[in-house]
Amino acid sequence: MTTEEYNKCVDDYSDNLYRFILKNIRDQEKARDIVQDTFEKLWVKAEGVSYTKARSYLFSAAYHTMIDAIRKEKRMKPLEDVDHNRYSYEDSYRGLNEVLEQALNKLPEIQRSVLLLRDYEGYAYQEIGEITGLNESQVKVYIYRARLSMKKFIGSLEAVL
Amino acid sequence: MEKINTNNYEAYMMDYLEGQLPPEQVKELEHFLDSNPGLREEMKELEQMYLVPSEESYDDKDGLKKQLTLDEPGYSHFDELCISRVEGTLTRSQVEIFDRMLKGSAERQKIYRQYALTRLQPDLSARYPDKASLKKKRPKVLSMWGVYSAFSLAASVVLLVTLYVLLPSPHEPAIPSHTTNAAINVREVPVAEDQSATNPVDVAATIPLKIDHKKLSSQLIVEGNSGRSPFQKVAGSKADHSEAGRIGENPIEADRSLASVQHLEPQLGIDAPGSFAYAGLAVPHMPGTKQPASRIEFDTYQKLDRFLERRVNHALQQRPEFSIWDIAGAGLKGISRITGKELALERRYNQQGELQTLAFKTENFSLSTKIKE
Repeated sequence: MTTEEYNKCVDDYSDNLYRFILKNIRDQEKARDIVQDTFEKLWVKAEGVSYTKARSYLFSAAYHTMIDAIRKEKRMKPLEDVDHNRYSYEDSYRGLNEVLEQALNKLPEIQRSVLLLRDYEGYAYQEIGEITGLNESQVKVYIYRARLSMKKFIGSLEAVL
Repeated sequence: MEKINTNNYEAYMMDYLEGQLPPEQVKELEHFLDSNPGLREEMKELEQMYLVPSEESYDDKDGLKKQLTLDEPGYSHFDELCISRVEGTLTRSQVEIFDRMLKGSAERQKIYRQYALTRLQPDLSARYPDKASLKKKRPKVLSMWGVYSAFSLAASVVLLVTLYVLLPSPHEPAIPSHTTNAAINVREVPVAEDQSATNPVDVAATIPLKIDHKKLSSQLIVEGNSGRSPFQKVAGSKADHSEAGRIGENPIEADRSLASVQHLEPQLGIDAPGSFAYAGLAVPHMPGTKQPASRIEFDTYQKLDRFLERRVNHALQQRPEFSIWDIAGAGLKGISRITGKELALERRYNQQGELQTLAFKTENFSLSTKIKE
């Protein structure tokens, strides 16, 4: 990959990557750091990664960097800081987008990631599998479960909305 | 595998009947059976022992298949269909059936709407804030071949221009006339304190020196240690020939203490083309001694020739060959002299005399590079 192609990747994919990470971890600073780390990794591997494979490489690297960051954070996070509201249905919602946001946030990480890759980026099951290290069937199952969970959450709040 | 015999033929027969026997062994088996007709009969019986599948089939395969056209799909099955519809994995015919299912039930439509909401839309307002910091600048790669070529070309041009500017035209005298005229004629003659004690110069055979004119002049400085001013003797032009061609006719009366040639540094000069130059130096006889007056006379041209040869040989020994960098360095030196700007091409050599580092220095910037081995 040439420098021009690398910079084109920045233009084309940095926003998508940022959204993907931000939706997963909901922390702008950390999302920025992960995006930056991911592009640095791409730059280091630039000679071995072709432009056509760069997008998958970026999402895969970002996903794994994010998982590492989440695991690290979980190990360091005191028990009292755990978001108990995450599993509560007593939140107040101002609109459909917030409901969907909450529904997404309540998904397990892996389900959220595969769903975002599917809906935000339009990746095929096989591509999602390559990015996340899952096989195609696992990806389908996670997406199925994710939609089922979200639908249940939405249905449970429909009366409130 | 051992040869077929009555003790092992069963194994061959089994392989043959299962189609596992290699062709060459089939021939061997046939040959064996020909010689043992009873065993051929036995093999025929074995062939009949193999079961051949019947061609019967199940007639109601379609009845066993699950149909999407279920009028009363189970809830879980409908969820699956909804998700498949959202995922876009249903075929066109399945989509048509699914749509028909929705039309008949408000409850199903509601469920499907909820599933449809799970299809996320990216928030395009969320953008990475500092893309510029992620971008990389293309590293500037200087082709050393290009640099070398450019330097060489520039240096060559500059060298030529410098030579053209600094060297006078063949039609112009390069050496001032008074200098030229001063040649060979020793105008300044240190006079001995005791004139009476000074014998006339014992003139030895004086050979006029013809300097083939490539504009050579020789400057000989003979300095006396009596405190008198030194005098100069410079090769002159043809015009001086009659006057200075022979030292004997124009004797030098030198101080007795004149003894040594302190400095001999030939200089290239330019004279009119076709001119001749003559040089000679006579040291007068030292009075009071029995020795005849010393007389040094030499062929300037030969002296210069030897001198230059030594210098060139020395230079060649120091550096066995001239490189493009010598030319480039000379060119830059010329530019520096003409422009008054500081320009230099510095080279560093290792102990083996190989060029290791090259640095181009100016007043404003400098570039350096290592030379590949």
